[in-house]
Amino acid sequence: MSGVVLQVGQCGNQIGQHVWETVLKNNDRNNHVFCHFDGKLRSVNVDSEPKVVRTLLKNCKSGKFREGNIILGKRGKGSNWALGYSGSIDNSDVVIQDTMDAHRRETERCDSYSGTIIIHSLSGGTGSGVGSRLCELLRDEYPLAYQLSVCVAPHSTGESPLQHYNCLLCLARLQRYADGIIWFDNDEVMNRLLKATRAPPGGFSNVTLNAMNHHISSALCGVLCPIDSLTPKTGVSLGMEPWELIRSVCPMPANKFIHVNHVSERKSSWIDIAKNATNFLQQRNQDGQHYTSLSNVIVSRGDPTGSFPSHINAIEERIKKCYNTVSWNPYPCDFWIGKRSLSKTDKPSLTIASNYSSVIDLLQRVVNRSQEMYNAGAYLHWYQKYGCDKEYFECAFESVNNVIASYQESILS
Amino acid sequence: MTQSIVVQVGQCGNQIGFRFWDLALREHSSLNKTGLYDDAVSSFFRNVDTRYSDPADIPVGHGLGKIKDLKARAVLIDMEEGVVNEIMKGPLRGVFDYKQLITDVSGAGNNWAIGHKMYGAKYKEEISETIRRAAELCDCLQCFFVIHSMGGGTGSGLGSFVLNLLHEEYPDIYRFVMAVYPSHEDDVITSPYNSVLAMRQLTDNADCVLPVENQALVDIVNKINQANPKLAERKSSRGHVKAGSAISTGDGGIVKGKDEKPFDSMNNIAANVLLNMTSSARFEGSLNVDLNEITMNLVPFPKMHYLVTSQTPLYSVSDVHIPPRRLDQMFSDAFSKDHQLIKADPKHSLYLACALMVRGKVEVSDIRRNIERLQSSLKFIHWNRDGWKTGLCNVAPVGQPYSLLTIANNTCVHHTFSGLRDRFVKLYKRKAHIHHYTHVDNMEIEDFSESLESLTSVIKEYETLEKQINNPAPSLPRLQVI
Repeated sequence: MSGVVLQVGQCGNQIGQHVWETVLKNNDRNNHVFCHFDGKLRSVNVDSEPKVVRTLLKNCKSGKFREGNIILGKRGKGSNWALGYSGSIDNSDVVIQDTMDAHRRETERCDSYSGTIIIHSLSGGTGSGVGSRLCELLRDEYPLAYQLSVCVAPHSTGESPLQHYNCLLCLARLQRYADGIIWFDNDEVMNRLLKATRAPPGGFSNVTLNAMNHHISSALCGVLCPIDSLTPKTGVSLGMEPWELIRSVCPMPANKFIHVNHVSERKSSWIDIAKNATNFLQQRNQDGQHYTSLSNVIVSRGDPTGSFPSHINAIEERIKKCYNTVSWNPYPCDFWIGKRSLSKTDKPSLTIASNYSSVIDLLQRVVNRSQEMYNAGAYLHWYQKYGCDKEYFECAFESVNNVIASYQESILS
Repeated sequence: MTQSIVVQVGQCGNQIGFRFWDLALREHSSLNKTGLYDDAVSSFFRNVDTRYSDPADIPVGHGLGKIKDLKARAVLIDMEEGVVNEIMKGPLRGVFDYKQLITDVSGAGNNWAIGHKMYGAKYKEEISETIRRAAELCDCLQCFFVIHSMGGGTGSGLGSFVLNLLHEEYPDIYRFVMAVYPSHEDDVITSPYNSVLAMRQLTDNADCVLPVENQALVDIVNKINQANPKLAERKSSRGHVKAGSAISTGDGGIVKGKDEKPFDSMNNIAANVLLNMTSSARFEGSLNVDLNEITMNLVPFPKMHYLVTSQTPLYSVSDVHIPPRRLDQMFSDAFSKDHQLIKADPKHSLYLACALMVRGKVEVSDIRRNIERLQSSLKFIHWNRDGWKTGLCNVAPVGQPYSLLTIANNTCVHHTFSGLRDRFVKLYKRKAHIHHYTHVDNMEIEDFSESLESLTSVIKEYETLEKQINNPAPSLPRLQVI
């Protein structure tokens, strides 16, 4: 009812696939949040090359996706933000236009359109370039609607030499046009999964890309799926979860980055699950300083016996300590309770969405690396070829530096 | 899905091209058991109905049509008929359309000027027409692969002319060139002239050049043969190495046994490079790398587009219990100087960027672990310390469970080019053999000096970057309170 999910690029579509699989598993009356009454998902899939979306359609029940909402280009955007942002040189690229049309049709089908969730990566060409363009266009079209961007930051040891430029340019746009930005870091996800799996004898523990995508999509579902405490007395969800999240976790317009921590375990008490969640969290940065969080939302699911409310105080204490909540916020923790679990086996899960200052590290790294490359003048001719000249870069540097400054300021007090 | 057209020029180009088509058919036939004409096959082949005298092209449609007859998206150009005639008499003749061949009788006499200026002018219309016809049959053309040698006359001369033509007529389509550079002891005396004159065209018109040296290929083939001597005699290998797994073998292709020529094993290696490079664009994978991504990620400055390639593993061991160390060994080998396709040592030079195209059963965490492990032993330029591009294709190559192709922009190429320039200067100082070139219409002596200048500037750019090999990252200026 409330929103449309837009998946852009290879990363976006792979994560989207897992999200839909989880959502479709819980086939209940709240499905209307994600599905139209004719059974098709409120999803728009965009990619500039056909292979990934074809795999998605093969693996997921393809009858659930509307034909007109699948927009595919042919040639790929070559890991170049400028090519994704501006389309091709001779404007023969209709991907962006078609996507806006499909999105418009989808919003017309909604009873009460509140906003869009865009899932994309920060380092690819399509994900970052087309994603930021769509963000901008959607803001123009629907100035009052929410925009939640879910982005995935690349490995710091390098997924592509152009990743720093792409991240920088995309983050600058997101800061300007999105209302909330949920970010995941490939490094963090991979380390967490490596710790969780045990190595086979004589070998190394393996983490597949599938496992990483699955983890990210579980965390997303933890935050976005309907919650009982937000459902009105009629028992029918309004699908307000993503927008409530933004309203709770992003207190200031300059601080929009939301970090999500998700743990799902069977047969543990709520305190143990909370302990686990905070154990996985990186609490200190390289200089040994504690990170701070401005505001948190804790979502618990899979609580058939209703035992969670009694543990709220203990968990709140723990969160306040480990997340080092800021002192000027009198109510740093908001609790949401969902009776149904995400998985079919009724495993209880805890998801903590927090406005966490570890994002400063990511932003600083992106700025530093791109500044080095920019000063050396490397790869700039590829961006200039597609209309992205020095001005774009200068503006982007300024934007991201401002974000870093405002985060540093807000955690000082 | 995008299509690519292969343009093979000259004797060397056509021989490598021939091996490429054989191996491409082998790969598709081992994967496509149902015989359906899908997007992957259409990237290099057309599906035609040969009942008509002008074979009608059948488009991919919904990807469920059966393959009737395949024609390669190739243009074969040679100024003497021998090689192309052999191809058309051999087992692969059905794959090539006679309208895609351009031949002449007398050859270019190892003379770049005859190839470029004389034959270029003579065949310009025909070449342009043939390529246009091939391009029109493509739904969405993404790039041209031009294969030729640098030392001969047709390959270097007419090959660089074709490159020029492609740049003018199709500026948006990427041009990848696989150029075979002459080794130090080359049998053609004028090869330094031909190479340097062609290099200038490559620097100006190509998007990406993959240099290959014969000496390096010979060494790799010897290495493989040493590992299993029986492999060389093509007997059943009861030894160590799995039959048909070496990258220099054509086992499983159309050309069998006695039809194999002596250079085939070397040409197979070069052909495998092209196959592995396009594998991620053709087949599905967790991390797709398209061909335009290769140019954009690996070429930081416009003229420095010479990429060093290496392939591992060279063969796979037939022992079933492959320990995971072998995977790490594959990554380490890829950076050793014995596996590179030119005689150069990238480990001691500066990396500007590096792409790892992995095929087969390898996971993301393996790749990350190996990158972290190798990061310390390789020198990357300070502004691109994490200049890695990773691609993961789920489809394994024929005969091996996984493979790795590294494509790197490394400053070690300037050693190869410097050697080339020295040999050129030695001859040019004495103006030896120049008259053969200047006799040709439109060829002037300035072409020589301009080409030498262009080569020198490329070498200098690489050398300047290499000087920064020990530079740490400059620390960013501290913000000042005004």
